[in-house]
Amino acid sequence: MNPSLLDIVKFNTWANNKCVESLRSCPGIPNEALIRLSHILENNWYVYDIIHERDLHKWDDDRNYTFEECIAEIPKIDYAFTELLQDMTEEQLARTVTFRNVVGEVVERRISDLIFHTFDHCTYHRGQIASLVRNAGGEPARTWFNRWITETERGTKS
Amino acid sequence: MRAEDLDACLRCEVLTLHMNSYYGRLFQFDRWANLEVIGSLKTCPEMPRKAVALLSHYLQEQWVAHKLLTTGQATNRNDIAELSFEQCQAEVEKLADAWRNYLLGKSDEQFETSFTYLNAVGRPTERVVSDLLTDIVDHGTYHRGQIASLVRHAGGEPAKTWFTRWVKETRRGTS
Repeated sequence: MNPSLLDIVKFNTWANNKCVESLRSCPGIPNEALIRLSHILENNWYVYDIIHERDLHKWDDDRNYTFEECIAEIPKIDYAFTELLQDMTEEQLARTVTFRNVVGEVVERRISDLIFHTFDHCTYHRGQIASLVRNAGGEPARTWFNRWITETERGTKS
Repeated sequence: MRAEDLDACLRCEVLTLHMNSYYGRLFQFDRWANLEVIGSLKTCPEMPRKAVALLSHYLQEQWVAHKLLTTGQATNRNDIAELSFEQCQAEVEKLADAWRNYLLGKSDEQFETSFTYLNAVGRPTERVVSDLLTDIVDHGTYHRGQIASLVRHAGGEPAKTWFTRWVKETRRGTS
């Protein structure tokens, strides 16, 4: 049972869009924040490729998306992971995939864990981006999960 | 779910996760990550006060949520005092025990029930139990990212608190 993975994907899309708005509120977009935003989006795609057992060499180098490229990637990631989760059974989500990680170790992970990880990783860096936005004179995004529920009226699941 | 069944789920010996084992894993991850953060703060030549304040903040918020879920009572945030580093250390283990006890015996249906409470600004708010639990874990991750930056700036070694790292270090990855 994965009670909230799809919710987490939708929350993540909302939060990343808030993050983009917050970067726009800065007199000048702080490069450290843009690097982090690019990094979390790249990690989403990296994990997507792991799940699909694709060649990971293309991720050996950072993409370093521009701000405009980041904005364009957000809905693509939403679409890709939504489609993935809608098509997956519990058994498929519990399946493990084996891959070589960034330091060359062969590791085995459950698909559901990889999906949770990549979106939890986004939250981690959004926290850092919020600090960088504040330091740059912008308005940090308030990207709590609870706020997503309130703002999207997702509320009671009814 | 019996305690031994829950333990088996937490060790990933069964494939189908019930809600309490799903959240049980997340709170175990949260405990591990918080202990890693505490370890990272100890590596700083001088502990950054802001980082301890953030740690205190999200631990205290866990108690606010726990009280809400177990008693239905909201906490007056004016009553919340900032914890010292030593108090934070102690609270991590207390919270881990509290969440474990809270989750034990809960049915899937109980996680999907909603309840209404007055939020921090006094507005009636309706929430589903599972959503509040997800928020708690996510909130901790958010501030751990900020603490890692503060630790780095303070000359310490930031904690690497990725979920997959927890899976690896605690060998909870595969069945």
